Amino acid sequence: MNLIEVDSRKILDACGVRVHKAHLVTSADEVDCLAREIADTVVIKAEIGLGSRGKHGGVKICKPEDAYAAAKVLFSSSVREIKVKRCLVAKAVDIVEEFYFSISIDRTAKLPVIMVSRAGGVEIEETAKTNPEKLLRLQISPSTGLTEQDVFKVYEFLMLPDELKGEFIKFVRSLYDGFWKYHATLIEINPLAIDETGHLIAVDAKVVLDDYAAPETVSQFSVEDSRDQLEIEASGKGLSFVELDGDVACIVNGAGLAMATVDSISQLGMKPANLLDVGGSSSPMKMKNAIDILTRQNHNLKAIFVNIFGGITRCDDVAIGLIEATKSLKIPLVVRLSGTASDVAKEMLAGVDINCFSDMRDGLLRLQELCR
Amino acid sequence: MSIFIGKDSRVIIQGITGRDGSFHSKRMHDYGTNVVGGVSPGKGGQAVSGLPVFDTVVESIKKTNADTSVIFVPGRCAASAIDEAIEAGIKNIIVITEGVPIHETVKLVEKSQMLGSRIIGPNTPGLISPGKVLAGIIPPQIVKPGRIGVVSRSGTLTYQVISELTAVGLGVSTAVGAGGDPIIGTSLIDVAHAFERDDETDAIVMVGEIGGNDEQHVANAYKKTICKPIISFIAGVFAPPQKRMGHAGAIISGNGMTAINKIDALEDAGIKVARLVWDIPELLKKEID
Repeated sequence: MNLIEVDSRKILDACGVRVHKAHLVTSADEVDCLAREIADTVVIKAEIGLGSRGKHGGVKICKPEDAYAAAKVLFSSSVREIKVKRCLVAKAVDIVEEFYFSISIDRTAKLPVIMVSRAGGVEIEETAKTNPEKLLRLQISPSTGLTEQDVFKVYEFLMLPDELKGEFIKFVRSLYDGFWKYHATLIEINPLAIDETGHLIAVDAKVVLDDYAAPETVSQFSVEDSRDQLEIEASGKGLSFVELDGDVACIVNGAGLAMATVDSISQLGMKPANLLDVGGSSSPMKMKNAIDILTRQNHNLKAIFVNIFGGITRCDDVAIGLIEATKSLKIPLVVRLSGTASDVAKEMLAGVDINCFSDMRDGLLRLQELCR
Repeated sequence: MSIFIGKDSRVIIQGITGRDGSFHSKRMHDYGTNVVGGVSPGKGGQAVSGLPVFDTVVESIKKTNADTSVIFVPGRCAASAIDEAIEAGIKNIIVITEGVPIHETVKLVEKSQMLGSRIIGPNTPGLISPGKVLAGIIPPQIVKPGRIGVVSRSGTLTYQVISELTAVGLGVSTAVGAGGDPIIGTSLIDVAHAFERDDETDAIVMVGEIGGNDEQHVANAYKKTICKPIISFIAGVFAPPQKRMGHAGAIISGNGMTAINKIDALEDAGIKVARLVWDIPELLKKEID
């Protein structure tokens, strides 16, 4: 789960890291008010739950008297295709030096990895590509834990002043402990700065939590779910739903098959409207909920394709749900069922005139015909 | 031969008394897998479909000589079940459970490597060597014996691919679900290397998806440490970045590659990539004829 910046800052704060103060606002008037109070250079950042905002025009740095106009522009625009509804306002930090710092999990090594660079404020993917020697990647063994040598290596690489050694060691340890404690899969501070007081300060924060373990942390910090409303509602009903911008919907069991179905719809010249995975052991209710969400999400759907390969999922359960859910459905439905209990299911569907295929390709070709 | 486990593997089911555990232990047993018992703390002494239930993994090993475990224990309790299996010395630990916290998996994978166990999964449908052994939930009736090794990061998409092979008369040596989580015990490359060493496998079908760089590692090893032909399919071409596509591991983030990046890397290495699932058999036939 990607946390928005305000919530990411809460986590850093709880880790005991010094975080630069910022205010969350929802209007240009509030920005104006705060800017006058700050009476110094102001930074206004669009709070959209995604990174690389600077590159996409989502960050404004201005004098206090220009803040209102700048905020007006931000609030009436979209950044990375997300409409700006909230902004963070802060006094510009007097940065003496800036760095990149993160802890994440290396999927190849299957270990936590600390990454640091003296090139702060720049996207790390960029640094990794253009100047890999400016990036230190240090894998940590969970059983050994963070050793003194580990911390020293990071300190050396960043060439921090001697007087910050103690402070930096404490900083790294706190974040490493917090990484485990709060089930983070990413803690990123970019930039981590030395400000005019000569101390370390996190100017920005990005935290991603492990979905499997997030609930504890989420309730502890009352953080906000950054997904959109329908996604959250779907996940509450045991469905994985991602909205796309087409007009042909699908309902599939299993994430891999769901992705392959969306890909095929697209490859065959149609426009997928969503990805929807009903998961394993689907009950009739799940099918009903899925169709309900799809029809509410998009009123211009051309058709719905149901693609079920029964394993744990029983096709007869699917059929019961479909028969119930499609009574009031106004758009064409193409169903593909194979695997567990598919024969019974097909008979049930034939009784109510729902066309049913055994082969995924045949189903998709029929869908293509209907959408032409 | 089959990879990782075989006809002689002595299999226990952790979580045998649960709904899925009891259903699938019977199915594995009926298929001919050497299921020797199950573990369910506090329920030792009972029996499920005639299989003895033990309180602990250690006890089950003492009584049955088990060397393989299939874990159905749900959610948060799965981590301690995996840990118990590693500590008891189980060699192959197949974790069907979805929802093991990623940090737990990281710790357990490291521990398993240090103590000499192999974890397959979490969030895997398991594996099947047709006619020999079924360890997991793959529907056995769709798989016919043959000489194609299948490795995949998903469940139902694996079944789909296997069905496409079966439909044209191509059988499978072993099919392995590596798991849909971001951190898994056995990666695609590990399975591909096992197929390379397996004298019953002639060619490999690798079903990948967005998230991580696992497929790229296979591309890098192709024609170097893996010489058997590989045909691939990558799901998630149309997945938007930063969105989790069902699997916890299926997300394009940070330095993670898109499906197109992966397809390019595989094709640059000389591996043919099917754009539609049903194109896999044809590409495969061209490689093996």
